[in-house]
Amino acid sequence: MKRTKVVRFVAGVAAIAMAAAGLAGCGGSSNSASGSNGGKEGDLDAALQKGGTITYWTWTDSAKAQAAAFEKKYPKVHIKVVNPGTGMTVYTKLQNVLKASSGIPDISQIEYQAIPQFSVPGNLLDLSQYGFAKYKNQFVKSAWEGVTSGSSIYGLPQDTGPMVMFYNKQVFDAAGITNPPKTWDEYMQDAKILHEKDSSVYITNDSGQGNFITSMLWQAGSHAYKVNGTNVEINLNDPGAMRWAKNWDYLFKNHYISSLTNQGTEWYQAANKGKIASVVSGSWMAGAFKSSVKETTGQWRVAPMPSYDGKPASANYGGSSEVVLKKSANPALAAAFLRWLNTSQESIDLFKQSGGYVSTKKELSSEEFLNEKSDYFGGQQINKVFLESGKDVVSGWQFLPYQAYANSITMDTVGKAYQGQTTFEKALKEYQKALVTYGNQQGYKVTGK
Amino acid sequence: MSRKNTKNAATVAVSTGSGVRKNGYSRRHSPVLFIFMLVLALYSIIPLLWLVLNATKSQGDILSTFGLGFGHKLNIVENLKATFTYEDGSFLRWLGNTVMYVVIGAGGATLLAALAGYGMAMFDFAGKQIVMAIIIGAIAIPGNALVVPTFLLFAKLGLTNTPLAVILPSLISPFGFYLVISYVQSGVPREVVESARVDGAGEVRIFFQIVLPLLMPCIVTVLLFAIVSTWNNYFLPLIMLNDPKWYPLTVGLAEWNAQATGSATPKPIYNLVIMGALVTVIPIIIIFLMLQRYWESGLSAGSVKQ
Amino acid sequence: MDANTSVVQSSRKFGKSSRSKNIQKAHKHRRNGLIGWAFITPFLIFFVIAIIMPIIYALYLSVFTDKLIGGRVFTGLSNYVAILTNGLFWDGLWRVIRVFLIQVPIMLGLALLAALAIDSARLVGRSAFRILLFLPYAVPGVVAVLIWEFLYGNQFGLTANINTLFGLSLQPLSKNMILWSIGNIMTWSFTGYNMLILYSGLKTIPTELYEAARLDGASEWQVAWHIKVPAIKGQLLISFMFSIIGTFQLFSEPQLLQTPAPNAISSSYTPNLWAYNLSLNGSQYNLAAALAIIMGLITGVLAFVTQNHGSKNID
Repeated sequence: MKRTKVVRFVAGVAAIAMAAAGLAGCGGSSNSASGSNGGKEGDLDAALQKGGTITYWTWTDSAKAQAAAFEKKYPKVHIKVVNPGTGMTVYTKLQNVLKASSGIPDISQIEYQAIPQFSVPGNLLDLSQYGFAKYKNQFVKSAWEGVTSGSSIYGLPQDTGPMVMFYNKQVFDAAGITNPPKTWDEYMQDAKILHEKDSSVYITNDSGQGNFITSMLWQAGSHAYKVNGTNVEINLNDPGAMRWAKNWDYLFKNHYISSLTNQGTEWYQAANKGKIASVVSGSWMAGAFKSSVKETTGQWRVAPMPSYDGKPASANYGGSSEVVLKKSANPALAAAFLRWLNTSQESIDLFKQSGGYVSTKKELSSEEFLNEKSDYFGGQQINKVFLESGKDVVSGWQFLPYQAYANSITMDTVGKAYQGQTTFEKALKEYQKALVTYGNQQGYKVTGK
Repeated sequence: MSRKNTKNAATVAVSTGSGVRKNGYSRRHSPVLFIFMLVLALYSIIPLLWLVLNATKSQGDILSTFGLGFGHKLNIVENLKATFTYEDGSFLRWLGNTVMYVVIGAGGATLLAALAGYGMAMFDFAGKQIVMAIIIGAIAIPGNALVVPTFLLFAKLGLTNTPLAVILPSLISPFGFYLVISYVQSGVPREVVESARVDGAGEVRIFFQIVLPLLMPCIVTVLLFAIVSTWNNYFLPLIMLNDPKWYPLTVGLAEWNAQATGSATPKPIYNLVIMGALVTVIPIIIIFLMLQRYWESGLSAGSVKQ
Repeated sequence: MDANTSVVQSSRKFGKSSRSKNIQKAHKHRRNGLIGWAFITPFLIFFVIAIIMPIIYALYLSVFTDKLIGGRVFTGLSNYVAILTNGLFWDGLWRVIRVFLIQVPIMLGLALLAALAIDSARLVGRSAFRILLFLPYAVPGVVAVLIWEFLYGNQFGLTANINTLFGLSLQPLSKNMILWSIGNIMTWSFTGYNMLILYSGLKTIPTELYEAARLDGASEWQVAWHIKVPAIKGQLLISFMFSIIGTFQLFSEPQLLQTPAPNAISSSYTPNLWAYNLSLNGSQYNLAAALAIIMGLITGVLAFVTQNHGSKNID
């Protein structure tokens, strides 16, 4: 009698277990679009009249002000602004909600480099159906390229991150260097001079960050990733990549570069104390300098990023757009908000006021914007430098269709070169292997060269 | 059985009249012991001292003054204000969430463990051994190993990004379950329960009015450790929640700390992170100190060697 | 850190007593049975939801493969093979084993000495020490890492001061030291906690046991080593088990230290961190499920073996 009860209990547990497994069975991974395709431009205004609620994931400072302005204009629409973190954290979370098929935002901020990771598997809404192609000429070229693929438009650009070199003029002067380096060769020499003059000073710091390395390869003229639909060719040892690798090998081998983490607590201290002579980064870094490197106010300047042959060349580092998720319950309304968010003067002004670096040609070429002097940077018209850099972005760079993930595992392999255990060339080769394996596991056709 | 009883008697004797026990022996103090303990105490305290000191500093001072000293000026009020008002008061919201997770999660875990532990220890029923075996077999797999599978399951069920995703897994406290069983076996005389039954009391009443008071030290111990594990929980809410409005303090603080780094407009707010950390630690320390008597005797009763 | 060990012991104890009671109270069996079930059912329901179902679902997922392009296919045990033949898994496992072999003994050794110290009449300020050492346990792991992250700064943090003072060049966040820096945070957090568990055992030792030895002229150390320590083997075992679980399931510390030490902590630094990154960043949920099952098995078996072996020795 006892035994039968036991059996019954086990059967009960098993039944519940089967129910769990059953849940797993149904549903599966349905990639079928629940969002609508074949919308048209008129849908947007209709949606605005009808109203509704839109969830917007963003880490933009001005997002709440923008949403409020929009709601004032369209009282029937409510924008729920959620700040889920920045960059990688957001992609992790997007991946997470897409997996769960619940809690998916209607609109999300995404950096250009991460767009393919979501657009290729079909998670983003193609906005060309709403006639967004006509906004092409409003945006700078590299930004527009970042949100489009063929004739598909996956988002509207918000800001760009053209790379420049921030440098502490006082530190360079103290070492007897009057002009910032124009080429990487000069940069290497200056690295030596600065560190030999004062061993606590480094020309820069780098602890390695996937997206930073990506941008450095881009500027060096590498075409590491050749993407054609789901066919991918990877060559992280191409001539461009090797130019960068050689320089970084030199800097690390000779300890001319500090291993401090970019913008970690120690980095802020070092920068405040004038121990970091320069930082090659995106234009957005200007804000971090102003807010958190206050002790060296007035000492910093902005110069074009050093190039390999003396001719101006740069890349984008960061910079983001907003996209509409395909599973949005109200894609027309989401697209309507997005249209207002990144093309209306009112919204762009709010974004500018919060210190954002816009991606629209009109703003970028306005005299007022270009002539603006920054006290922090010793009265320099830094926007001019940013604008030039934006024009000098090397064209033809492609991101991997799983770039966000690739960036998250860069340091697993390239980290060894940063630790001095191998050369950057070999480390990149190893990184390539990991990327090829992962891509093929995910169903892409990836070959490594 | 009898061996265990003498031990329990010893426990009681110790916890009621602590200090009496060794009076008869050596009163000499050992400097070696003292120095050893002093070093350990400093090791334990210095990081906390750092936390307290730096919570009083402005961000500039945190980044430029000696870690174990004060800053140029006391910024404690400003920090406190800024911590609670930053981004429309997210911190307060997270504090509220944490309290909610603790009250429902830890409170529920304690209640469930008390009920189940009592049921297991006091009643004989068919299937008991098999239930026990299943529970033991399953809980040998520790909590953290289950976080990813639980996430995958909850994602399928649409539970992720809801408070339930954090609360449901917190409701099971195997440690509490075990502690209650062993406490009931040694601390709740069957005769008391039997006589209450003879007097006509219902089982529910017996549990809440007779058993629960007897179990108090044990319940407090279970509750405290459930509170700590819920209050400190990071992995589970990190993976389960997307929307900051459901974050507990731990995940919120980690995100604040991370916003100093990264390629998307770094915004360091170290002064808020450190003040927030201090505010997170204080309630737990207070609870522990206040209930010290209970949990210390609860712990010693629970860990009686068989 | 949830405590789930030593339940094994209790179950044995429990099994014996329930058998004898079964005979005593056979007539009440049926009624008692229903009431007993009523008491444990609420726990069981949540137990099934929070533990059983995830395990089963993970088992299910682990035999399939989902692709970003192409959907779900049945792949049998190939995910397990993929994990077990991947060097990253063994590297991560070897890291937690090293922590286990070095950090755990140090921590438990300190905890044991501290427990003996606060149990000894020869220490001044016993209750103060007891509380001071225990305080770090109340600090959430996230906060602990945050504090230590600052202290570990070797250019401007406390480590820099120590380096200057003693002429050292410690780099706690470098690849060579990071594992021990993580171990240190764990030691800091849990020494006091383990001390209390051990101390609670020491308090239950009947005084007569060592009064006699003292009268025979045994030194305090001899008493501690030959009488007290053997008497709290049970508690030591519990602490040891908690530590096994804590180490093999290491996650928060490396996950949070990845930001300040990006080139020292890889995405597969510990098995749990790897499972997290595989599933959430890499969309490789099936591999993550297989990894979680493997790690659950390893920890479970280790816990079981230690428990059985340990309690045999005690008896």
